[in-house]
Order: sequence, then structure tokens, then C-alpha cells
Amino acid sequence: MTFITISIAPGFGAPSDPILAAAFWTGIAALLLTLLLGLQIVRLRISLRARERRRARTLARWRPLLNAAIVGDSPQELPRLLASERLHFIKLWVHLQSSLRGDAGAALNGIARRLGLDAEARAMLGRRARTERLLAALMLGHLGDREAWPQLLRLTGLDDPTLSLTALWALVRIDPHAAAEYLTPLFVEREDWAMSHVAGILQQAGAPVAAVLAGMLPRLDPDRLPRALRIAEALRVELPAAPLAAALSNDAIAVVTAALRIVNTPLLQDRVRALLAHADWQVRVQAAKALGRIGDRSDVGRLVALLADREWWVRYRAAQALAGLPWLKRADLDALRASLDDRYAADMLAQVVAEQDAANARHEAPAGTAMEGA
Amino acid sequence: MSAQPTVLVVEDDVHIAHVLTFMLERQGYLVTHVADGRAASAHVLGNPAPDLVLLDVMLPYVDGFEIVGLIRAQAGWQDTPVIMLTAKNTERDTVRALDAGADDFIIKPFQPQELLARLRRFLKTAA
Repeated sequence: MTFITISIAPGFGAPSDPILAAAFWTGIAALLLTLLLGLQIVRLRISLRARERRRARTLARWRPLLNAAIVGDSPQELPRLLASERLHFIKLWVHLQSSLRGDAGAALNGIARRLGLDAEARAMLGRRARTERLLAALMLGHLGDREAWPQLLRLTGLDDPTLSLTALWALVRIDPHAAAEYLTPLFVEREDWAMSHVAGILQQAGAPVAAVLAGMLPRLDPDRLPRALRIAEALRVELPAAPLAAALSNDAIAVVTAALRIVNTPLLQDRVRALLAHADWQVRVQAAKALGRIGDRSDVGRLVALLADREWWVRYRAAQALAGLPWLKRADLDALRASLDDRYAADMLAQVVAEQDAANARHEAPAGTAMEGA
Repeated sequence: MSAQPTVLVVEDDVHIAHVLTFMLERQGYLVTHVADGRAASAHVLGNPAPDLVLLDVMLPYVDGFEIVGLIRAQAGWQDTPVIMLTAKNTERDTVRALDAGADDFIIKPFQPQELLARLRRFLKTAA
């Protein structure tokens, strides 16, 4: 049996054995750290509660005034906005601005300017706090504040994607035409920015972006062309036929398919028809879809021929294109299916017609049927 | 219809719910607000129909499409006008709302005066 003797140094309290001394001091350090952590938790909770109280006070004081302004009753006199209320007020203001439009938005802008928040937001843009910069960019965008343009432009170059995209959004709000000139090439270049974000930001500048894209397309190298065409697709903007025709003649499959996705003019019928026989099945798929949008009566035969394609997706899209042609009624489709010798082609057309029938039945179902028995 | 028209507002965004309630009460409507789909379903099943329902599409627990279906299936509620609040760029939602039985829709972001005008149209018809 082993006995351990713990000897305490006289007058100090720590053990004299080095291993025990290390354990003793580690214990003391852990205790102190636990106490510090506990104090920090208490401090954070107190701070959170104080912030919640300030927020509640701010909302109680300013919400009735903002609501009155929204319905057209802007108060003659406004109370002073306290420094402790500023961020809570701006959060509420930005939230309301994003949910309302028209006169209500203009009334909210009027209140913000009377409180001097346009100048305050410009000052916030220059601060380090990220939240303040984000809120300031949103506020200046809603205000359409031209004075903030140079500052916002600088923010767009930051590595922080949220901050830079918010600054870009604000630029579009302030001046869609000027922003389109600057932003469109940037969005084409930045593959890392999600298309949904890009489309959301450029939504307000659809027409100017289309003009910029049309000018850019002939000069873009094939690596960048698909991205540019996808932006046009996301914004649902129509590009002129000439640059689209050039894209349809490109050697790169990604460029041709991206162009086919947005072709919407009969001027390009012949180019699209030529692509129905392309060696790549993805091109044939998009060509069939495009012909469904822009084709004429003479294209029925071409689409019927595609029903016998060796690729399932080509046959499916060709059948959908046929079923979507406005001059082919249900009886015409049935007759067409009966006339087909190829079993796979007939089956595909039957499947698409059945899908169409099911969709129509859902559309025509009386309201509330789904909830019967709920 | 009672002297003071009643409106059920189903909206989970607390700030927008305050704006809607303020606007409607200022026009003399009696407003009942519920903040999620589950509470809205319970309200529809357990209360008499209001004069109009203003219903957000995106709700926690049960979405607006299901609520409007429930309203159309609930005795006494079938003829209650329902105006749905749908998000911008969601044409599919708008069509789905009308298919589900909504009488009209307002696209968010919305203009308060336009919303009030649509409401008045239905409440006048009801009167």
C-alpha cells in the first residue's frame, strides 16, 4: 500500500511537492476562470435585458409616429431621437420600408430626413461596426441618397460579401442607370456571387442592365458569356437578336444552351431550328424548348421528329413543346399520337398529355376540396 | 354586418401586423390579430366569421393556402371575403391563392392606401 504525504509550505498554503503544487494552482486557475465566466454570463444577460428594454421603449415611442406617417398623417413636431434609440429606430424604419411602397415609403423617408438620419447614416458608413454599416447602407438605399454614392462604391470592394452586396443594392436603388453601368460587368465577373442575389439586386434596373449586357456580349470571352446570359435570364430581360444570334453560333456548348434558354424572338427561328440536330443532347433539349416558344406551324414536324431522339430528355421536352403550342388542341395531339409509328415517341406524347390533363384538373378543382375533412 | 366591420388579420410579422392594425382601426374596423397558422386555424374553427380576412401567405406551422381552404370549408365562413398578402415575384403563389379560394391578393411590399381601397370594396359589397 502506498501512502501519499501532502506537505504544505508553512505560511503560504501551497504544497511543496511540485506535482501537487501544479495541481493546486491549476485548480485555483480553473476556479477563477469559472468565476470569471459566471460573471461574464451575468454581465451579458444584464446587457441583453437592458438592450431589450431600450428597444421596447424605442418602439413604444416611435412606432405610433411612424404608423401615423405611413397612413398620411406625418406629425408636425417630432421628438428628438436619442442616441440610445438610434439603431433600434433604424432597424424598425428599414423593416417598414422593405414592406411598404408608394406614398408610405416617401413618408418614412420624410421622417428620416427630418430627424437628420441621412447625414447620420453617411457617418455610420465610415464606422467600423458592421451592423451599423449594413443598416446605414440599407437606409441610404431606401432614401435614394446620392451624396452617399462614393462611400457606397468603396464598400462594394470589401471582401465581406453581405456588406458589399448590400452596398450594391443601395447603389441600384439610388441610380439604376448609373449602377447598371458599373455593376453589370462586376456581376458577370464575380462567379462567386449567387445568381439569386445578383437577380435580387438588379431587379430594379432590368432595362438598363439589358442595354449594358447587349453592349458587352460581343466583347465577352466564351468563359464569361454563359454567366452574362444567365443574368439576362434571371432578370427576364430581352436581349437584341444580333448578340443572341452570335451566341447561338458559338462553339461552346454552355454559351449555346444559355442563349437558347432566353431566345424569345421569331427572328432567330432558323438558327434555333439548325440546333435541333446538334450533336450535344443538351443543346437539342434547349432547342426543342426554345422552338416551343418561338416556333410556327411548320415546326410541328421538326418537333415530332425529335420525339424519336435517342435521349429521353430531348423526347420529353419536344413533347412538352408540342403540347404547349397554342394551335394544337387536345384532339390534334391525340390524332398526332395515333399517327406515330415509333412506340417510344407515342408513349412520350401520351405521358406529357396526361401530365397536362392532371395539371388542368388541379387548376380547375373547386376551392376548398383539398381541405375537406380537415 | 355589425355597425363596426370586423377584420381578422393573420400576419406573423409583428411590425407589419402593428401597421395593419393601426390602419384598419383608424378606419373604424374592429381588428382581431393572430400571428401564426396554427392560431389562425383554431380561430377559424372556434369563432364566428368576421366581415373580412386579411391573410398572409407565409405563416409558421400552417401556410395561408391551407388557411383559406379551411375558411372555405368551414360553415358560416364560406362567403367571407379573403384578401391574401403575397410576396413580390411569386406569380405562382398569387395564382395558387386565387385557386385556393381567395377573393383578391395584395403584393408585398404594399401600398397602405391601395390595401384600404381593396378592403372597402369588399366590405361595401358585404353591406
